[in-house]
Amino acid sequence: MQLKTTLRGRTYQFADLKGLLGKANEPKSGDQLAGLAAENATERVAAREVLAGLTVRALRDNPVVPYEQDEVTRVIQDGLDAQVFAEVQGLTLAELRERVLSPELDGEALLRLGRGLPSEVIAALAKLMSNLDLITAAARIRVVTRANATLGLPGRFSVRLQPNHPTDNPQGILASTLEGLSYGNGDALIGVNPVTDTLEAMQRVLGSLHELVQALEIPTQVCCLAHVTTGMRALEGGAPVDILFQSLAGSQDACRAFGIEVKLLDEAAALVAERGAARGPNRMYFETGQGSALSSGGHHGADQLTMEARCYGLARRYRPFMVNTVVGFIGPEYLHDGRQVTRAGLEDHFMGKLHGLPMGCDVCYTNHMEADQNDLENLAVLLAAAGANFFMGLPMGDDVMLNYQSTSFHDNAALRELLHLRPTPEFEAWLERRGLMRDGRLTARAGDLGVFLP
Amino acid sequence: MSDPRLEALVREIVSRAVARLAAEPAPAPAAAPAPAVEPLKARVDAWLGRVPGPAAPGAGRAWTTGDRPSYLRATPARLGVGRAGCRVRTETWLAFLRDHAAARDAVSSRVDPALVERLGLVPLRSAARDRREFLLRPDLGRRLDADSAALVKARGLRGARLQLVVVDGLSASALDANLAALLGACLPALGAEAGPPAPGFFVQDGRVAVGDEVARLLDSELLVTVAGERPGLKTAESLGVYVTYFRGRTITEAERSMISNIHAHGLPAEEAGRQLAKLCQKALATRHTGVEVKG
Repeated sequence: MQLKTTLRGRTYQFADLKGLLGKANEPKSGDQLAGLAAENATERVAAREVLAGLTVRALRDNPVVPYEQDEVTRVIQDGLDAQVFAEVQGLTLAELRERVLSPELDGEALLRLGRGLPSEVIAALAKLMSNLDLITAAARIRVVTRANATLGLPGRFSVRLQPNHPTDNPQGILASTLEGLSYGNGDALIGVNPVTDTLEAMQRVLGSLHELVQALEIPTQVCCLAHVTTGMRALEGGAPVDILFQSLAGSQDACRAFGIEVKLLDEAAALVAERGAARGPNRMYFETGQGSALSSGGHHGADQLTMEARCYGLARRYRPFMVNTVVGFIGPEYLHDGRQVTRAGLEDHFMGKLHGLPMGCDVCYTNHMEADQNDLENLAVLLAAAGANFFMGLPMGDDVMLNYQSTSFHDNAALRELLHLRPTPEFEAWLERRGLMRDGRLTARAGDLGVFLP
Repeated sequence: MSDPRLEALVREIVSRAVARLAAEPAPAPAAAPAPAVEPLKARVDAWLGRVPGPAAPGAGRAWTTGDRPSYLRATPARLGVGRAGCRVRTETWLAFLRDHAAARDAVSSRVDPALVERLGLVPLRSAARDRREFLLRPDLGRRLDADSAALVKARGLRGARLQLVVVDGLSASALDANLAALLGACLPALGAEAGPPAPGFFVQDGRVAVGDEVARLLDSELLVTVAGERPGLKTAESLGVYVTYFRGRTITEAERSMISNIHAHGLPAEEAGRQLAKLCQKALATRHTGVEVKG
């Protein structure tokens, strides 16, 4: 493997593939924190030149965490479509990038291609792509999933309603839910992050939301984002769990820090396939985000973009209903500012889609990073144009439990109008019956929780 | 694209997607047998312990007795704000910007030196050189700089039963607003068990774990670390307190007890101070802090 190039009379020699992958990244504070970032712009482009000349085969043969040592690597390697891999293994990354951008490959062909690509290759591709490359390639891929409603159809853009409350007060959760529904939010999921990860909290949250969904006959899915083991206990106790939730990480060690392993996820998938309340066939919801592996010390010296791609390699084993990259929550030591968050959001969405995943994004920022509402709105427009399946929907974007800002009910409504996107067909019909939407646009009475109240 | 064409395209994509789901080899666990179909309503009723009733009321019928004001009162979320087209109204937009500005300024703010002096805290620095480095290098915020470590040894009381360390964390505004009231309520309530008062420290650009270094240097028994919490839009003035029984232990986060969300609209500082005193007394009596192993 040639890991050397000469630029402007200076020779750049990279120690190993892992080091090369790190230095080929766009600048990220997390890679700097890990000591993996390029020293300057020239070293960065040198790394990309070397990477562009490597073959798909070379990247497969050198996973960033060894096969024998890591079950996430084994899931990625063993799950590949051997036929597709054989067709492309001799391509260089430069050639593969052009193939992915070529209009000759439609969405179906890109999905087929993705099934033969290990996560490290998809990460390497993202490193060689500009923001608009990432948008145009991802926009051609539609990933359609179904639980109760159908997510990801062309021309559709959905919303996970996130009605969090600082004490899990059921009426408070319902209040935010009702207001969100009145803006046409909530067609992907009504999903609450509970304050405490207990069976009791889960039952309280699911109980009141299921009552609402039944009373108003809302064609959607309900989820309480507790740890997967809590969700499994609820399922075993007969709770009507539509969708099982879990956060994923890109290595066995990092997964262990989240309290999960492949065997557990396999059991969870089997349990929700058998006993889940939603129609299916897709019944899992995963969240990911760059920086989590480094944060738990499970990154094995690999950069945060590559570790994120490996989350998707793990996720696709389970054919989830939704995968959400939470892109601006982790803090400035991993993604410093609006520019880095924008880049990470576009990378993650592209990588997830090429993995065949129903990607959405929690487009967000915390108050201790160099980003503001304008950065959030910019990325939201870019990702909606790129065909993201869903965003979060919160009252004014303000999460009063987790203390950060994400996309608002207003933002999602505005994005639909701007880009002529509609909710899921089932949910759009419901909004029309309720007099809240006509011809894909909110009606005058939409936009207040009072429309559902006496 | 005309509607019939779009419809045809949608149908085609759905059928292809469904066919793909069916055709692809499923991972082993997904091969479970199809579930026995059970009407969802009956299942929810059973699970909630309700007597199975008639079908849920349909559109147009009241489903709750709660009115709009009762729902709005039930949450601090920004609800009922109306809209200007699909965007927010000017008044609500400006209120949002005001709250974000307060949060941003809290992150970059510095603690009032007069407060540190008035409370008799010895000022220290972490290894982070400035605010930017503090935000980008969490490891540096968890360590003292060399001069400060020397100052701890020179000014601190060795082997104190209770050692106080205050750090600015992510909000100096939170210390300015709530620290005096918190300590004012806590210290008198501690009683004799806490031993003779040891000099407290304030660490600029410090994270919670920097307190551990102070306790190690001084061989303290119980460490109380007060920190400014990450500001949200609701408040930029929230404090958190971490109590760690230190002697003879290697500390992990799970071995701290904490009180969080201390601010005027959350847990008031005076009440938090009284709770903190009780927590310290219990920790000294039981020689333990942190979560018990869950059953």
